Amino acid sequence: MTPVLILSGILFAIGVFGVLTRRNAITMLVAVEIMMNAANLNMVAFSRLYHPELMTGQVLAVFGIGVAASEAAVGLALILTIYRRYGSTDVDRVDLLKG
Amino acid sequence: MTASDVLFIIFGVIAAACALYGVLTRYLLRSIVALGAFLTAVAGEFYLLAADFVAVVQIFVYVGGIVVLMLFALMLSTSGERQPLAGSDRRGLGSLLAYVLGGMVVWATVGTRLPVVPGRLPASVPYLGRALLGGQVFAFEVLGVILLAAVVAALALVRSERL
Amino acid sequence: MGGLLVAIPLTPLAVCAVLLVGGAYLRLTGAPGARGVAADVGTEIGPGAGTIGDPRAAALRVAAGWLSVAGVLAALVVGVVALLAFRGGAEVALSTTWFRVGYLEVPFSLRLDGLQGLMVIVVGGVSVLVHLFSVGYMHGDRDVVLYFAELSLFSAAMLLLVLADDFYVLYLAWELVGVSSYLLISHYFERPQAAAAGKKAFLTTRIGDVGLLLGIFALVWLTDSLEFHTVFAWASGPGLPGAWRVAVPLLIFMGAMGKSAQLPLHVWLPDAMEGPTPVSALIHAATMVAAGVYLVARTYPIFAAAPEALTVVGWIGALTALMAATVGLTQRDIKKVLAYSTISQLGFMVTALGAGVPAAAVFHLFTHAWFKALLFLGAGSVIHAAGRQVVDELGGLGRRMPITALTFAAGALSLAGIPPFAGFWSKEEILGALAGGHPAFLAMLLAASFFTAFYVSRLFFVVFLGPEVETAAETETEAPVRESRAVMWLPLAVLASATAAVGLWGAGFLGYPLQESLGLEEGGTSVGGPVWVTVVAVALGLAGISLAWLAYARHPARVSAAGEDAAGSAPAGAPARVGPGRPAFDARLEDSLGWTYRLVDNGYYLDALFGRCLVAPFVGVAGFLARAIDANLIDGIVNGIAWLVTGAAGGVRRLQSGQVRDYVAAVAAGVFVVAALVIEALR
Repeated sequence: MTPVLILSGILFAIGVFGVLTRRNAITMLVAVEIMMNAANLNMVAFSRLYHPELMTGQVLAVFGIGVAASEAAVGLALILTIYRRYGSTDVDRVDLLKG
Repeated sequence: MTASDVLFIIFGVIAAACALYGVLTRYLLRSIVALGAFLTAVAGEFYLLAADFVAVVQIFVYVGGIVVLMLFALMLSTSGERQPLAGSDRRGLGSLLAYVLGGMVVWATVGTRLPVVPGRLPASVPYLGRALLGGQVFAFEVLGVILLAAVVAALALVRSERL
Repeated sequence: MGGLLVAIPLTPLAVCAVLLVGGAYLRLTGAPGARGVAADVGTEIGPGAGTIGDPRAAALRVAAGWLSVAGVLAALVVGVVALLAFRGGAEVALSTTWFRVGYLEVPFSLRLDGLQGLMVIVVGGVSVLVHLFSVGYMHGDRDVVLYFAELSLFSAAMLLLVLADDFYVLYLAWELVGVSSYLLISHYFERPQAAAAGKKAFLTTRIGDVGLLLGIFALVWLTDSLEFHTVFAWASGPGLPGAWRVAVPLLIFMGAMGKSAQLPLHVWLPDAMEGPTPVSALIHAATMVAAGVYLVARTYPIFAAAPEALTVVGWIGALTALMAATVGLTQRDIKKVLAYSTISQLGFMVTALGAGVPAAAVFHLFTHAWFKALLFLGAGSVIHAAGRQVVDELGGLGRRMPITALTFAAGALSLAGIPPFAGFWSKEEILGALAGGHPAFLAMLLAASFFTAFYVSRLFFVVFLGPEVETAAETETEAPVRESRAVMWLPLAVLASATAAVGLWGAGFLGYPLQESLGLEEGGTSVGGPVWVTVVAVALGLAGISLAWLAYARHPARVSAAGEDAAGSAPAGAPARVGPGRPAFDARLEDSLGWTYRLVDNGYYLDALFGRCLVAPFVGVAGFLARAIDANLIDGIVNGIAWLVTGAAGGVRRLQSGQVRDYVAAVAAGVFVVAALVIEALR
């Protein structure tokens, strides 16, 4: 099982890199999905470890996918609203909270 | 080195490569397509981990739904550019944290003695079904509500002012 | 019976409250802007202008005076009733515990006995007459309602002071009296001199008050009680320990020095003449300044136990008496002459206290109140009618103001100590007592008596006799000077009759009814001294008057500012008139005495001395503290803290970049830290 976990770790790292690096909001979301999948992979891997008949990890993964779907929907809706407001999806432009 | 191991390696490499490409490329469209490929590879991994239902759900929802959604959003937010581009910066900080977090996970994994995993179970669907509608039914229902809320929220956010 | 005593100070206090509330309601008191059109307040008599057109306001202005007269009259009546009850044998006292602080019970005690009853008569009587006089004098003044409120407050406070039977009430009333004096002196506060005079009075007496307060503290600490009878029993019996025996009376005397204007705390009294003349009559002649003398007389048991303290008291009194009498010779302002005269006469009283004859001192206080108030009110009558108060500009008023002149003469004779006027009897008491054992004091006071007779006669001759003085303004516009209204000359008449008759009350051949009733101990020689003292004193008095006659009445020439003899226009057949100018004798005196004259004229430069040695350094230190310490250091610290905070905030603010990716990075870093901790913990 170790290789799976290492794989998920690597994928997670790639996701982090992507979130911190990309300027476009949609590609940030792409990176976020990468991270989420890495986590799902991890959970599914672990579901085989203890009481595999309960499928806890897989249940979590399913829920994760469901939640990811809603989050992507709302997130993209937000991105569109921001695009309408600012004329661009560059996250660096949206800095209203700047102190 | 069994067949599943080989497949595991293949899917793993594809997943990592697609993820990297998706994160590094300047072409937005390709970034999203790379995401789609990545998700498919991960679905393959799921299958190899005896989570066949999860794999199928992944394909349906993620690749079939979310990626399409992203494509639509991309189309709507790039004001008709033929080839939308977006660069990336702050590579230094990004890679630092990536290495740190990834390294931490790897180190934690490697340093832990994991018990031996038992053999494959038969198809996971019955067990999954029992779990979802049995022990975890409450969360299941809540997930439905979340999805409903998300639909409503997305609608509320994107409707135009006049309506 | 004791409950009645509370009514005595309470009635005028109630009047004060009513006037203040009513005045505030009608916007007659309070901020200057609320009082309507500003009147010219350069002179003592400002033409009135207030809230124009409000009939209630006009009614209040008229009512204010009469209301306050009623207040003090009621207090006086109650006082007389109480005094009769006391004479009838009752004990008229009131004593309750006001509150407790720790182990100390703070009492509220009032009493009316011989001494205190006498004081109530004096204070109440003079107050009524002055309030009445003020109705006429202050008519049309812009702040008349406030004036009467303050006057009533003063009367209430003074009455409370003389009724006090414990140190707490005494000090409370003492301070109240000081405050009302300050308020009244500064009545024309838009005049900078008046405002400064009020401050000076308050601060100078404050110095004395500190001494009094320390004395009270010492007494409480030593005897655990604030009640008079307890403290006096202590003082006469076991006595105060060690150095306190002398220190406490001296501290108390400091308070007396301040309020009764003794050397060196006398400098406020001449300046206090900036206040309206009725105020000068009431407060600075008859009552407040007498408070110091009363204080010592009341607490005499403490003094009697310390002859060393009494010596100090006596010397201060004698020096004051002599010094002030000399300064009074040269003053040109009527009120200043009378002010120095008051200081001098208070010195007489204090000397008597120091010589061990408090009864004689109180007797002189009694008579002085009447004739000094008379003199001041007479001066007020003159000032009100003529519009000016400097001797250079006044003359020949006897013809036009006969009542004022006559009553003034009565007061002057009393002050000079000529029988049968009251001043003679009381002065003779004091001088007689001194003859026995205090030759130095006697000599000084005799000299002072001579000067006293001289300067008061000078005042009378120059102002009321001789040719009339016309000023440039008068020839053009004003109506001729006339006798004052009845409201004003009636009190004068009453006081004149009083001063003629009242002295007999303390006369020897009537058995000293007054002194007996006081119940004061006699520590020195018996009252009623050798005859030769009386003869010498009267002779000196007559000599003073005659010399003044020669100097001022026989040759009433004037020297105008240009140095020539002044002459004025004189319509044919009318009495001679001259232009304004100094009396010729004064000018010749200055020429011959030179710097001595100027030294005396300037009050021995004591004011200047205080200014340079005390006030200036103090102001300098205060200025330094204000600038260097307060502005730089303290403000610097406060501002510095603010600067630090804003700086820090500014720095921290930069964390809020508004950039999503920065926040994500922060979260990632946080995740790392938490995860590392968890992993470590699980290992």
